[in-house]
Amino acid sequence: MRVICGIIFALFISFYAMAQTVINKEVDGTINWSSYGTTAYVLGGAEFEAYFHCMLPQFTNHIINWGRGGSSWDADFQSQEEKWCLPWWSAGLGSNYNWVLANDNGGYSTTNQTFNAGTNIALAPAFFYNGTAITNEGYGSIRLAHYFMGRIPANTAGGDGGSVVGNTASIQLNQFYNTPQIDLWHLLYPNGLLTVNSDFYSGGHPGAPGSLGMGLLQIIALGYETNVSSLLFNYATQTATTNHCTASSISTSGLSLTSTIHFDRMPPAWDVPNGTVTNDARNAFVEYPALGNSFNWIIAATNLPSGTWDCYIDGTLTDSGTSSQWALGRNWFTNYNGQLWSQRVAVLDWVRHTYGVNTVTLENAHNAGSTGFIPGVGDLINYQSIASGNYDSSGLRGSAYVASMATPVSNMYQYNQAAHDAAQQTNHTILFFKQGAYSAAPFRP
Amino acid sequence: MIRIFILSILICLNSNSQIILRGGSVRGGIIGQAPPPAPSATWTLIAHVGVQGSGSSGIITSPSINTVGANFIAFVADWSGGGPATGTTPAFPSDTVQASTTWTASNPKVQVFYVVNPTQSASYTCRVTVSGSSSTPNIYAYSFNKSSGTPALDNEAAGGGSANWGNDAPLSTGTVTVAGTDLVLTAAVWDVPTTTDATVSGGFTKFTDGPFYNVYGLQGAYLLDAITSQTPAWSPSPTSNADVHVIAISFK
Repeated sequence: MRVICGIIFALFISFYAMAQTVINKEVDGTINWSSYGTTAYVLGGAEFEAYFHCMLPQFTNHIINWGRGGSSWDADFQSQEEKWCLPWWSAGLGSNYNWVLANDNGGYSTTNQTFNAGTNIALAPAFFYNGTAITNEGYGSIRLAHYFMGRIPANTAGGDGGSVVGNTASIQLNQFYNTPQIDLWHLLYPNGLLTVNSDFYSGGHPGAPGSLGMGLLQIIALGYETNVSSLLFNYATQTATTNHCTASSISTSGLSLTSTIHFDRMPPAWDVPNGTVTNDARNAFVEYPALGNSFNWIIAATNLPSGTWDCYIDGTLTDSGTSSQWALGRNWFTNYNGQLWSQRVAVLDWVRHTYGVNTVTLENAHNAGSTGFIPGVGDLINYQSIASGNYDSSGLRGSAYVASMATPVSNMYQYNQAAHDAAQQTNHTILFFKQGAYSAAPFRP
Repeated sequence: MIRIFILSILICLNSNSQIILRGGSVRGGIIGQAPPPAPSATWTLIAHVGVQGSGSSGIITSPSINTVGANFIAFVADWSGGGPATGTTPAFPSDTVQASTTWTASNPKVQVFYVVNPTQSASYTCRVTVSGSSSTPNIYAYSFNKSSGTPALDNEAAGGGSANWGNDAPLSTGTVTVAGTDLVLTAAVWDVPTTTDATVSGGFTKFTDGPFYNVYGLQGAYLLDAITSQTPAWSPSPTSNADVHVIAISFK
């Protein structure tokens, strides 16, 4: 049994060692989920952003959403890119990413239309459309890479409705710019995600499960790390094998094992009803079971005496399984219990505060006349409002425009900082306790 | 008369007196005297060219490069698949081309070729031919003059790893030692040909003809008159996860 468990865990470790894109510095980026990631639909896009805060808590990552409801790529290029992205990219200290998802706006019916619109967006930072012409705004040295993220199936029979050519064009852009190929349409459609009418809101907007699938599958397709950490206790030897986490003060007493653990990072959260939250993304893992193991956050324990064991984190029951199941390892990626899940949700909430939306309704939490969740500090609603005033009304461009956006950028950074702070890892007490066993304090939960 | 003669000799001897310092020579001279002239450079860059490959013929010829005044020329190429690679000098085929052994084991491959005492010509060319390659190499050629002695290979080092847009952690070539005053060449090749450049640590001067991106990205750099061991480290930033190989080679 020990040998088998060792082999299985070794497989986890081997999987862990598979080449993934390891990011080792601050991520500064812009997300464009026009149509799908704006007010009332701040679902998968926010979860996509939360990934970076959760998985890279050692950095303060600066990410902003530049999608707009009803906007096509051409409209994004002509009306939003310089206005919303240039101040952000020019302020970035790390590697600027521009993740751009194709959408159903613009009436694009050929690959050329989407491809050409994409190449226009990718002119930045050397060139922007300034409202009348494509111009050099003096920011060509910005470190910026464009990642075109494919297009999702439409809410039609067969899922096409023009979305396949858009997806194909996006892949052609990936090839053209030598970025990872994101075949999002085919990642989403055949496996059951976004194939059911109930997965969509009106207007072809994916619901919570499909939107979660969109976000997770984009991360996977980009090759970003999905092996979060692994923690294997050996009850017999009171030792642990760890990766991206630590375990100390391991001890057993009676039929319990306890240790102080500290993770390096955690996966992002999604919506799970809790009495307040009503959106429910969990169906993503029902429609597409493999998605549940798309990330690996493995907790395991070998040599537990036979029986069913509860696992408590900081005194809260978080998981239960038989000794055999614990030996095989439990993937807590889909575990939404206890303090660890609460922390993941807190990060997601801060992303939504950054957008200025209510974390339950996902509708705008305020108008531009007032500031956001952090008292007196403007969020994305304020950022975009000030941008419109400076860019459209005052006609500022280039460096003058960038300078005029310094305060809104700084304000947005405070929300990014809050997401970063929420993602910081702390020590936890883990306790395995055999059901039905008696143990004296402090091991009894 | 004799006294005057002896005194003159003593004065001459005094004016030629020197101070002997233990532990070697000291630059900067003696207070009150003009500093000695800086030592002249051993290695001098004469000319450089480069060209990005195209397609998959496996053969690339550099543009003409001036070797007048040069007694050493090195050319660097990268390729995908196949090998070995052969370096030739088409305009002067009797010149002897030698090759480094650095990274040719697996993709992406990169190698340095060099010629000692090349024919003096303003129209010198360098060619790399790779058998069975799936790409046409990118190539850089740099001609140098070494002021004294005959240039010769000193030693080489190679390393590698992975890099991507979010991870440009330096990838070291390993250390190349020097024997006196060396010319050190280094290069990085990454298998995602994005139009992003790579940076290199230390006092190296990057090749100004590139970087080039046919199939792979290739960038190089040189350091003249290295008097200490060198461990260059490269940081490319390709937009996809890339395998990277880096090499360094010193010439004495």
